[in-house]
Amino acid sequence: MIKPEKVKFPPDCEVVVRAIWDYLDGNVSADQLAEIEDHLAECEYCVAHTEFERDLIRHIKQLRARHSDPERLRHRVLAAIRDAKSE
Amino acid sequence: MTERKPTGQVAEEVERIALPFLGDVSRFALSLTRDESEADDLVQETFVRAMRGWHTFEVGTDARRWLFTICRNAFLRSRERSHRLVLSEEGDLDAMQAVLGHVYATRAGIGDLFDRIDVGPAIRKAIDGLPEPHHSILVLIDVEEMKYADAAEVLGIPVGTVRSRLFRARRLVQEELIEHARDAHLLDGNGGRGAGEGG
Ligand SMILES: [Zn+2]
Repeated sequence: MIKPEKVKFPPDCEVVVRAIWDYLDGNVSADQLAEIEDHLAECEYCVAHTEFERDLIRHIKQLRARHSDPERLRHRVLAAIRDAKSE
Repeated sequence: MTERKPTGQVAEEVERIALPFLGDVSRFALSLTRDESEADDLVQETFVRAMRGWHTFEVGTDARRWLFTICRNAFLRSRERSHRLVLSEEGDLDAMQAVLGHVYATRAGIGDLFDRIDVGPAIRKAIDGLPEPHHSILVLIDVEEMKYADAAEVLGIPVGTVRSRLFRARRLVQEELIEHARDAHLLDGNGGRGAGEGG
């Protein structure tokens, strides 16, 4: 079990920890952005954390599924469109 | 009411406007069904429904978003999911997980984890294990790169809900990944930096 008193990082890490996804998604206000970047400039832990989350999202993105035979699917869907009746 | 167009014209418009998004719809269907042959059926169903409902599509609006909405609705209807795995919004737990994530990321030498192992399979497994609608939200935003507002429309939920569930989904994936790394003894469970302190 992790004891809270053993978890020590500068208290203002909170500005980054709480807003990390909004920050990475580009959804923070100019003020918030400045506050976060000021903190990142002086906190190596938050830099590491932010990079970790950025890498995670990048890896999730790479998991785009690939169809084994897109041409076959295209023919099938095209045929279905031409067979279907609109309402 | 708008005039209904003849079927031939609808087919031509669907081919011209909707079909270019076949790859996107196919990927989305695959992420929903996690099975290619089931996904292909779903894709076909989506385009047939698009044909039938073409008079409800406003030409000039986002066809991809419109198709995704049809696809997801068709999927949900085909599934009749009796057991809906929906996570409660546990704010405190989320906050705690955020802090734990921070602790691990900063203390346990996780920074270069992505360079040390092929995390793809672990991430894939974690994503596949996500409950709905967290799974769809993560796929739409992080994989398909949709905006929050567009994902909200596809899923029929408020943007704020998309945001909180996306964050939760990412945290769940992150936790799974950390768990995986710990099982593979790639991490020091106590956190490298603090270990051995103050004896
Ligand atoms: Zn910090």
